[in-house]
Amino acid sequence: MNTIVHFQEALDRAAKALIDESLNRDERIMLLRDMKGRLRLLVNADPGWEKPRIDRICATLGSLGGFGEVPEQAVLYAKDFFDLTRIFHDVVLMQDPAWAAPVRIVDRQIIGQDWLNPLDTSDGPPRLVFFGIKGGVGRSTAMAILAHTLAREGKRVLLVDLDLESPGLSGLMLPHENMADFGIVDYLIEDAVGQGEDVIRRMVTASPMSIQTQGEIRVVTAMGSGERDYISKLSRAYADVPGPDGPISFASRMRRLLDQLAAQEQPHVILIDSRAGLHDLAAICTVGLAGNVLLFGSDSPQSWQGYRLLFQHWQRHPEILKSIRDRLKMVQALFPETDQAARFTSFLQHSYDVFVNTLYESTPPEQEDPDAFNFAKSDEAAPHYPLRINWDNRFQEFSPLLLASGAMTEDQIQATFGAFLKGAKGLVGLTGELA
Amino acid sequence: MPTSSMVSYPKAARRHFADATLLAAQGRNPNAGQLYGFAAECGIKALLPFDPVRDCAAGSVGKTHIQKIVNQFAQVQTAYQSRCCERYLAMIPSINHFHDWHTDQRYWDECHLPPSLTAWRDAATEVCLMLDQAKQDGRIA
Repeated sequence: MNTIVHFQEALDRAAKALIDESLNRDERIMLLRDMKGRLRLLVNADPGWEKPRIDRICATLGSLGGFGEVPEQAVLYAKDFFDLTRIFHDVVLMQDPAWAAPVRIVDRQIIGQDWLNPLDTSDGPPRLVFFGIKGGVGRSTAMAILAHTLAREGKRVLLVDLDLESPGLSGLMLPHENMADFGIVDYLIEDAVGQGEDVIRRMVTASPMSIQTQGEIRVVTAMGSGERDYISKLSRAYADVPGPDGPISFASRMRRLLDQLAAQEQPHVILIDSRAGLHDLAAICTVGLAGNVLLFGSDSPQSWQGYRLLFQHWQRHPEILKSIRDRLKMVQALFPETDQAARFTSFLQHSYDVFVNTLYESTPPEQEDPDAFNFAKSDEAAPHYPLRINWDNRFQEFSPLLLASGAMTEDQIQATFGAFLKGAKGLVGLTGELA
Repeated sequence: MPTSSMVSYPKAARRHFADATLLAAQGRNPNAGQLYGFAAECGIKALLPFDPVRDCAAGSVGKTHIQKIVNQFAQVQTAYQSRCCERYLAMIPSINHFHDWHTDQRYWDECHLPPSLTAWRDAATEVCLMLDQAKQDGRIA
């Protein structure tokens, strides 16, 4: 009877085989994990190169059940491809705490590639992404309050709703009559047939929230004012499209859109509402848009489990991790009114535990490394140390449009959002006072 | 009589492409152009869901050449529901370069052939790169 080997164990065994043969860092060889998770070896050399060692690795790959391949078909050479060299450009170094060393791998996935597709820098204005593992933690309200505060300080703020599968920013920020003709989803559909330029000029509108402020809030919503067929569009929006140098991925299209909007609107800052959870759209928002990322959460097991899963994924790809980890900042949302000291301590400890066990580097005490990416638990500048938003019943089911009417006082806003606003403005380098 | 196990569209695509390139390098453009077309045809057939022997015998898609195959490429969507299909389609934006290619051109006088060799080569290159992607993905053997 064949032994069943499951997904994770298959990769562990394959990685160990490469490491045991000291071929895990050789640039001519790497693991290929296909869309079903089946593992093979790619060798950019002629058959016969390192044959004994490769035969032993293939024997291991042949023992991986449904995730392996019979030994004689477990290795692919340059002759089996049109251009294997090009494939070797896509290699990433994967590391796992259970492995003795990193392994080179091409990991083909149906979706989810964008969690490992970072954009390190962008030339435009700073970007701040609002992300949460779970929804319903006050992300959009916090975004509205921050936008209004910045507009009062004379800043031009661009809000972008990338929560395409649960669009809410329009209802929150704009009366229906103020909505633009088109939204993000329209752009994606029209751009795929070469008509994006026409749409982009008609997809930004001013929010009445900033009617009495020195600065301005401009809003890009997921849908336009006359939307009648949103789901039909959404179901086509994620496609790659052809480009002059090969296919243009959805992530690249979103980056291009953000760049074009920034050039058109000239904002001081772009605030981006991300889709919640471990979804491709969230991957693009958090990893692919080169922004600082606010990680909203409450002190719940579900929230920490979600962040742990995400961070573990990054942890396995050290080169990717380095470009992401210093852009992260936790936000403790819905901070309760009672027992605050103990609840803050609990949140901080859970947050610290997740970061220490995944994203922070561990250096032995005798080898103090000033460049190591690790922080004391009490370091307020550290990614794990949360900005705090207090629970306030007045902001539940709150309409930011009330901000323009003066219905909320500055004291009320500061009491609830003061610490958050100060920290968030610091992240994007906009620390000005009221104009 | 051919059997299914004798057919390998991906290998045939690469072989036709390599031979086309050799011919083109020696200025043998008419037959180079034919082979670029066959390379693309084999590459797309590799991703289509049909049995090469059965469907060839039935005279359906197996015997269909590139122009009709391009039109039938939407079948890939039924074979591979998901974004993979869109990725593959996005990799071959130049496939319509074969609009003026025809298998009957092997009978033509050279002076009547369209001057499309470079366009055909570029389109066939895209198809071969798409096959590399499908092979990595585990979609084709």
